Amino acid sequence: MKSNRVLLQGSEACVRAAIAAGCRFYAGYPITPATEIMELMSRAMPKAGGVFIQMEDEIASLGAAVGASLGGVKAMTATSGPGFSLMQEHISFAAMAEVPCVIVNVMRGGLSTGLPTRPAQGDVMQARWGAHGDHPILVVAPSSTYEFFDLTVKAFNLAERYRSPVIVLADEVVAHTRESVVLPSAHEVEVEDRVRPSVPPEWYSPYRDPGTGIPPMAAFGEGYRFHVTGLMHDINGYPTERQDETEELMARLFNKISKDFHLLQWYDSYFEEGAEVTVIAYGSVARSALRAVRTAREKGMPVGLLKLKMLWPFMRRTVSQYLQSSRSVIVAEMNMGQLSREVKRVNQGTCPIHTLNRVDGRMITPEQILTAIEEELR
Amino acid sequence: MRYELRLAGSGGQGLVLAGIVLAEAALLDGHVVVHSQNYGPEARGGNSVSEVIISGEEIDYPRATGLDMLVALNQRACNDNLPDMKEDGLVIVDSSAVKKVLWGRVLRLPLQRQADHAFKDSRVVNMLALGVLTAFCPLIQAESMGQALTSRMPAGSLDHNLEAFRTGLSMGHDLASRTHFHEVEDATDV
Amino acid sequence: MTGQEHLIHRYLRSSKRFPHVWCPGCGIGILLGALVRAIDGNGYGKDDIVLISGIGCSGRLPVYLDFNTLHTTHGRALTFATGIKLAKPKLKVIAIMGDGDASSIGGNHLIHSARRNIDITAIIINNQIYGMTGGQSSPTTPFGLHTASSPFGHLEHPFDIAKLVEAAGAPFVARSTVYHARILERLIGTAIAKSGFSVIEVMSPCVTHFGKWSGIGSAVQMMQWQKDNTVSIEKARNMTPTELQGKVVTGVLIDAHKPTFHEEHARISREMKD
Repeated sequence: MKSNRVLLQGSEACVRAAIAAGCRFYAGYPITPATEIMELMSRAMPKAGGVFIQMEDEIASLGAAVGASLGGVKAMTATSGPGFSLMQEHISFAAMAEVPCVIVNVMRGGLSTGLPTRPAQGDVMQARWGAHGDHPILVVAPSSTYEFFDLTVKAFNLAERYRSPVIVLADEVVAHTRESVVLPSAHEVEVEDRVRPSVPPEWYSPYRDPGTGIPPMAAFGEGYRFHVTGLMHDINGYPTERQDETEELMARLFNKISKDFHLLQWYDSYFEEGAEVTVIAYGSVARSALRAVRTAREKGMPVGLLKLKMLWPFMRRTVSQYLQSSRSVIVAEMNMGQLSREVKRVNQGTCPIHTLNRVDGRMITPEQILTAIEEELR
Repeated sequence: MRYELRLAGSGGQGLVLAGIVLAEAALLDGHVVVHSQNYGPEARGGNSVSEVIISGEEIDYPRATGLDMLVALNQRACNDNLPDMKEDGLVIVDSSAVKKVLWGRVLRLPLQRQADHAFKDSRVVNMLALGVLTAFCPLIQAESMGQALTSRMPAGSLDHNLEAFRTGLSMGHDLASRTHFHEVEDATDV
Repeated sequence: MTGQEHLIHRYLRSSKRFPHVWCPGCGIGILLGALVRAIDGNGYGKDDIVLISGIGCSGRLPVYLDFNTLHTTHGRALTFATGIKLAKPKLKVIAIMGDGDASSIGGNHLIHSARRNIDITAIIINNQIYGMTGGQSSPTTPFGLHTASSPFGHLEHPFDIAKLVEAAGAPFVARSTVYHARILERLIGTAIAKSGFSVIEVMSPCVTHFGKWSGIGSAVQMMQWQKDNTVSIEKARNMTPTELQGKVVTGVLIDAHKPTFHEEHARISREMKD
């Protein structure tokens, strides 16, 4: 019997996921360590009947992706830190104009050009707050090849469901590591598509709240002629400065996601039973943490792991529960302390929180986490 | 069970590809496997490391914690990676490029010389190394390596690479039959 | 109602709140009229057209017209236009930009769109100044001109946008002015019908700012300036460089053919299917 286990790089899984989710447009610009995704897309897109284009920079890449999405095609781009900074302008636009799109950021080491071939998790806050203006955002973080597949599919589904840019925050380890995995076949993948208008064109208001907070989205060129702008707009998409209209728009933009916070608690919990210390980690660090927690449990230490798969919106409900049930919490991440700030914010002083940070382009090792656990339990 | 191998040398020696082939072979043999690579910014030269972890169960931490086997193709690669060895791990080095190895279980083979002279192609050094490694790795079948090579190598150069792999394999087998580490404290030379 | 008015009203959005944002004497309205007549003259349906703009006074043009319209970010209209064209190749994609929009912040997108020959018509309204932000110097502001951001005279030298896109590989490049509204209309019609990246540079008066800083003066005087200082390409061919100094050459400057990006991409997709 032929096994359906395959050896796949994280980037390859991401590309397969995008295609399974219905992505048919990719625009990108070469950057380490996300270039593999672009190169794979340059072959996969024409094969799948989609379009691949290498743009002149990352601003253009996301602009083209947003344009394609307005044309009714699911679109994506991928980059790393420096390119992600350039994309912020259009993340803001996509959030404002409510254009579904997926942005993969394979995080690499350092600030500025940093350590191009090494991992980091320094863009957690940039993913949340990098784009100008108050805006809602959805950010998922895979820790393995399988999760890179799974969460890329889900990122497309979220983008379509909420009409929002969605960021897949991977890291160099996740993108470059090859693993033996069993991926779901095409028909097993659940795919969501944006809601299209059911009213005739003359009744269509592109930004009228149908009650769900998410207006149906027509594609350009299909009979629904409408206006899209990055300016504050009324329900017809026309620029407005009227206080009642701007207030309503902003409220709807935030509410359409916040009303579903309870559905957006995506995590895996390990060794929860009797855990006095909980390690919180995400991305490739969650794997070091799992090794450390397993070793600690073998030694009889009461410790558990909370692996976050959704970073933004921050999973307040879930994390609060662990803060209440644990004697102390360790937040391990490859940055100077970014998600730990959120954990502390949610904590409100009830549980001691210790941070474990590393920013030298190396993974946090299981030994480092184990040492931290031992100190907590001493 | 967790078995860790690392191939280390410089960029352009085809070590990333060799590691992928090795990982693919391990997959074909029914193992759970993780491959990772580490390289500098240079396309050629610079350090290059390719690492394979083979296991019977889910692999959590995807990086080596104690190497069962290290293949080092230059002195720096050898020096840099020795600290990551498991106590009874095996080190395979290219004898012309690596002069000094502070390790007990060492095999020295003229991999680069073999590539340059017998194959007139310095690039097949990765295939020779894979062959030798296969002879000493208890988890990988030579047939699976052949299959993995066939699926991962471009058709045009496949025969050439397969031949180099087989040469490495017989160099390895030959050496294995003559090597008894418990008798030889230091190096084994061919 | 005259025939002209009737035509314009057919294309203006009845649901959009007027008046528009442009100053009295601004040339963008004339361009809007020429654009509508050109589209109507070519016989395209409203659903066939996508009008995309960047930021600035020109950015406000699409919203008034009953097409598929998109008002994007500063300088990036062409990037969105690229995505839309490739997602829906049958659509006629027209990008409206200003001089600062297209050649300063969007300069990179402009030259690369020309180079890759994406099938878009780029209309660049050149008023030689940043109008919406209050009269700062732009990449087409004349050397030495005092503006809100060059109080001691502009220290830099202007781009020739038409030459820039020609060098970048645009297969169709034309220039006109809003004074020559009828010629402009014809040029736009030709550019839209043309396959590939077509560029029309439209010289347009910014009375409020350029008129003030340049000293040319009122709307009428600026129109007169356009009339007096333009030379058609046909005439220009027989003029010496000295005679051409300070003149704006108008007409079809480049008309060539090369394969477009979306056609080439479609060919690859077909080959992969076979």
